[in-house]
Amino acid sequence: MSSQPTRTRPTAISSSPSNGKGATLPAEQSLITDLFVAARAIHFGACLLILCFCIFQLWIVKPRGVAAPAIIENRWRRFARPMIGWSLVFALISGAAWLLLASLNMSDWEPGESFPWLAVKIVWQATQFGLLWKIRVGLWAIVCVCAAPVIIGRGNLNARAKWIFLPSSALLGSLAWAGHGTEGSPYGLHVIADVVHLLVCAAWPAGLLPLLVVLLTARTLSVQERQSYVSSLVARFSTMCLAAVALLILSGVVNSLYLLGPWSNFLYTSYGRCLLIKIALTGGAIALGAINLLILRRRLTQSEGSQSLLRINVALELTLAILIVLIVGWLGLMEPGTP
Amino acid sequence: MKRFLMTITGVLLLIFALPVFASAHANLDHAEPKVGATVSQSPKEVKIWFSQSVEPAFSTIEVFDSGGKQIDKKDSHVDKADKELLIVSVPALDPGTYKVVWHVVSTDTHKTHGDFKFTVKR
Repeated sequence: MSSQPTRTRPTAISSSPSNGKGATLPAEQSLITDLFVAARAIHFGACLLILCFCIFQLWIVKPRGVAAPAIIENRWRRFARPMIGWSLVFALISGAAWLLLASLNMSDWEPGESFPWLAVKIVWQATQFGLLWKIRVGLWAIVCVCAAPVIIGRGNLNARAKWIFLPSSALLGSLAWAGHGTEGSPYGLHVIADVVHLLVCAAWPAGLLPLLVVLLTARTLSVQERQSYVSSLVARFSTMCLAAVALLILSGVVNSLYLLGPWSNFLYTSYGRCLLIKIALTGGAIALGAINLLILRRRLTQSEGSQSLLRINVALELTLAILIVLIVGWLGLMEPGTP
Repeated sequence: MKRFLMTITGVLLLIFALPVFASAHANLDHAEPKVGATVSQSPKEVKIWFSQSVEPAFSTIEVFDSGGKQIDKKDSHVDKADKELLIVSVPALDPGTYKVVWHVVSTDTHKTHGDFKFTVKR
């Protein structure tokens, strides 16, 4: 007799010993778990990027009253337009995959069985997760409508970014209700912290991707123009990052207080260890950002070598950011507090 | 700055205007009959309170007698007033030990399951 509840292992698909369905196929089950992690990570990434491009367009690459070289504006537009379009496509596909994989998980599906379409229908029609996904499909459609002129190359990117900003923030922020963010009260401090954590991630570290693209494009500018523009670009980005990192740390601490329990769980639970890796990677990215802000930024107007170092640093930061998003995909499948 | 603050307020209002979703991992909080308890009368229902809300469509309680035969009325349902309470009806139980097996999916789609026994005294 087990007087305590048996918790599922921290994977997408849990094997239930009492369901009488026989042995599972570990390799295939592991593949499904990997797919679930990938679907979640891609969905987070795609939703982050849509908002990130709006933030970058509105406040970093060419904010109101700031002149940007024509070549930067043209290339940025040529990059941002398809990226917003593809991010929307990937958000839809990965969101659908998330729904299907969650349905497999809920319905005790095991490799070898026929696909449980009925379970998918029930999840869609009769669960809170299904309701959340319906609302998110609506938000996705609103973002598509707002972004359509930009994607087909007709609208003014700056004007459209203002329209896309609000629904894309809601699309990203609503992911707080799809994970651990609402443990306890759905409107409590924890969910607020989770929403803030998600939204701030669109500024940093997601903003590193457009920053790198603009920095690479700036190589084609004349030395004087490059030094002047890159210096002001990095100043704007760094100011935003300082606020973003402060909010990320604050909201991250709140999330940890709610989810982790005792601090020793950082070492004694798989969720804690995974979170520790995420924090270490974030710390590494912050350290690289600090080098950019405190050392390289000041030398940008003096040395060409600093610009190359800046690009390398941003690329490294971005690599760490991608690893962080992958870990986020995994963390949502784990149960906090489970050894 | 004013426009920025208005935008941020708009974003937060839009997000928090979404319907209420209470989501988490659901684990057994307490049960009636109590876990491992010996009761003098047959209960009419087995009730389990979970730590969080559960999805009715994917949550069940099954009750088995000592011979492994399922004896509940197969009417597992979530209480209308309390989304953390799962209930199944049972017929009048003869004295003996019964095993309660539960499988639930919490509203954030995570599964948990477990079992416990209770005894009806002779």
